Amino acid sequence: MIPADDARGLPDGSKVSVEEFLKLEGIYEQTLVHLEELSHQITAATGLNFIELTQNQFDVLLKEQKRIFEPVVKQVGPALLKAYYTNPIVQNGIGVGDKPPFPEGKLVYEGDLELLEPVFIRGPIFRSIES
Amino acid sequence: MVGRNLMLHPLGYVEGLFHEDLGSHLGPQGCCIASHEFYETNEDNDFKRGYSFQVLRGPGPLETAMSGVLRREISWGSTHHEDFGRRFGKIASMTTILEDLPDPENRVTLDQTRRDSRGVPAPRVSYSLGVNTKRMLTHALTNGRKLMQAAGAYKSYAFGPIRETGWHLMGTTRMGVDPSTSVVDSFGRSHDVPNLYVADSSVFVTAGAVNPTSTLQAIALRVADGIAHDFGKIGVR
Repeated sequence: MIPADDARGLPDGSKVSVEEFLKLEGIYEQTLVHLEELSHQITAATGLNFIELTQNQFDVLLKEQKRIFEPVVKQVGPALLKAYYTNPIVQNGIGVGDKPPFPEGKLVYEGDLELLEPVFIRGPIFRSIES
Repeated sequence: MVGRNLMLHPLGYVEGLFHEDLGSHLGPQGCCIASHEFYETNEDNDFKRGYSFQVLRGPGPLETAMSGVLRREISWGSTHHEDFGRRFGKIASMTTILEDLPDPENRVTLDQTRRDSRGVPAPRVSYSLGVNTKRMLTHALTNGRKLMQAAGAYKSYAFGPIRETGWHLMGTTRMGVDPSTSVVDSFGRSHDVPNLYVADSSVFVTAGAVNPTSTLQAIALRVADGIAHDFGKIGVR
């Protein structure tokens, strides 16, 4: 459903941990059943083996056999997107990965109060009340 | 009177798609540009009061992908990355906050049947959008799309009210001098129950069309000043 993009260093959708997200959402077992059903239907309709489909064959089938794909796409789709777009390799590939000073964070040496400078400059945020 | 005049902040959402990379997925989520151009009552409109616009950060990668797939603008298969690239970082987002009017029929009551483990009745919220608010929403969404188009968006979306947000709870113990039309006095002190103070947005008489935190903080400080002032007298009122 999501192919690799070598130019951007993006893996294909099978390389991210979609199973974990399916399990997290409690639909893993049900998805397996739907996948098996889909595999049978694809073979019956086209004579092709679902596992061995090329990307082009998959694209064509996805357009032509929307009804057959629908249950799987509806279930797997959101989990796949969550797994894919939270994956660090994918995030780096699309330019939203960790940037300095992350992931190490900003090193603060003992006695260095630079980070508190804006607080010092701002002054107190409380006020005294009349007693 | 307690529990009546519940006001929320019905929200609309407007999105514009641009050809150029806006880097709109970067930065804090909060409002970066605010407009109060349509905040006040305008007699040319078919509604009273008005709304604000708040420009937000655009969606991150996951939200971009999810909404794109949902709208069938990002497909599965070999064009997925191309479709994604056409949207990611190129979406400007804006929200509109509507000023809800006080309506005694919008209210919080005690549920007659549901109780918590200690036997305390659950709150029951009865609320519906008034005609004024619905008209205001239509106006805001139409204007929001116009704004996006004027800014150069080649496509725009607008929808609302957003069910998941805008739940700023206001108005159910309104402030006032007359006990027959209000619950607390100008220092948040209950008209009916001695030494009971309310120090949050429940005392608002109007909702405004902006986030309520600053106002409710100011009111809380005022109530606190009142309590400090009355401290020695507590029990004798």
